[in-house]
Amino acid sequence: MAEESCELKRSLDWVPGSGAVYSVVDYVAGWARKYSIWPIHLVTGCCGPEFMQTSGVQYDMERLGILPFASVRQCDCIMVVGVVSRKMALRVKYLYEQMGEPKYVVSVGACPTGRGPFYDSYAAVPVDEYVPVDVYIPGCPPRPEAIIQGMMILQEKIKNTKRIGVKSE
Amino acid sequence: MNVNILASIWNYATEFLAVNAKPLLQIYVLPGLIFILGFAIIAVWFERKFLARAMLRVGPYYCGKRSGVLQVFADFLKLFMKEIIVPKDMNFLFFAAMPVLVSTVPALALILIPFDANWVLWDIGSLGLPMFFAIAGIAPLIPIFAGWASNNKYGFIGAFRVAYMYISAEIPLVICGAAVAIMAGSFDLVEIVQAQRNMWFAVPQFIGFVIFFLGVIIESERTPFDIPVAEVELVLGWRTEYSGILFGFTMMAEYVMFQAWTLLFITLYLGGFNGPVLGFLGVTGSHIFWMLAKFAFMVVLIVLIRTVYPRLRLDQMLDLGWKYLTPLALLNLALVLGMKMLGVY
Repeated sequence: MAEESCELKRSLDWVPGSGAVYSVVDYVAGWARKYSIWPIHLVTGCCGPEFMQTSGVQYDMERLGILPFASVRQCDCIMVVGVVSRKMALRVKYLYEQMGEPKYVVSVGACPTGRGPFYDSYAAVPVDEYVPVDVYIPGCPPRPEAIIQGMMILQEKIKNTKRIGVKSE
Repeated sequence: MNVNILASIWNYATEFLAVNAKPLLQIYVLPGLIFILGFAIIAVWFERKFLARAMLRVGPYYCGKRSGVLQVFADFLKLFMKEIIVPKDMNFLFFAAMPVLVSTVPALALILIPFDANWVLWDIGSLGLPMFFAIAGIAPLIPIFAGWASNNKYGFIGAFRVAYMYISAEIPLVICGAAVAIMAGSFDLVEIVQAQRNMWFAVPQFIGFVIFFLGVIIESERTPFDIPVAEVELVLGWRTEYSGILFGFTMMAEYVMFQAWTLLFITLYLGGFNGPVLGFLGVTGSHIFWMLAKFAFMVVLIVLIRTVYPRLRLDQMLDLGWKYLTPLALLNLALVLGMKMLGVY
């Protein structure tokens, strides 16, 4: 998928004015993707309650258009919420590969970011050894404000991605 | 020469438009394209906002200047530009045709609904009600094929649940439809509406009214009965494998189905297009206005039901369908026959 869309871009470069079309398409795509992040939440630890509250009454992530979804095929974003063990990391990778392009990963909390309180465990791994992470949200657990700020940083990142088609290689 | 050709094309076009203005308007605006798409867009936004307000949340807010009115467009564009994943060893055509069919077949049923005595897109007289049930009876086959095509265990279980649910719901619905046809003395939807000029059929057939209301929610897979796409137990039911715009089509299908069945419900029980004539709209305009007003009321009611009630289990749903709705529908039919024989109606 990634290579195909790059191919399309190169093959149309000779058309005069194609650059303007690319930038318009990029702008519209960035706008739509920015406001329509559907995350699947992989809650493996105690950041879960904070994540629930982020979708809940006081903080309401849906204001930003972020709608948690059940099936990974329709999602754009994995939120890894909580400690990732070596066995679980394989599942994170499966989930990542089942998701359609463009796809993003958010690491919520200290454990998936850098093993957190389990720094000397034989089993815990940082999630970015397995999948490319876009945004790290620190905290143990991070407060809902922090999670929302992380999602807003992800929105900025999506908006500023200037490529037709896909984000990742 | 060129001017002559252009002038004749212009004449032909104006004549064509003048002759076919009403059918074109019907196809593209009222029971047709703009009504279906506009309803899907407005209803998704309204439902998300209404659910959020009922849960004391805000709902979509930042997309669009006020109240997230552009949220649905953002979602649609994103789905349109997303990768479509096709699982291995699969007939792509069969897999991809089902989401398209699932939103177009219920739209076919929509063209039978009378918005006025002379505003029916496909007026087939006394075949109207049987044809509606026939077209709407094809519709559940498509989710079954979709679940089969996606070759996934959750999709397959969801497809079987669709089959269970529709069979247990459609029998009471058809019996209620028969009772309405007996009371009106015709299968013609326009005549059914005109028979309710003095009193809506919701009053003499109160049992059938309640059954049909439940049936509308069941047929459109709304929340107290969204068993085939149960989000927590089956990942997304028969929609599990669909990604990108194909998933967008399956989402739209829910709303088209909802639209067709709700309009039939209004036609059969809530007096259809009957209503006081509003002077500034004319007769046809006020009939269309009353139809749309009743439709909007029903939409709000059914979304409100979604906010309040949890989902039934599959066995509870089958109990409801076979042990309660079907005998009550037969009782309703018997009452209607009694009223007819005693000459009350």
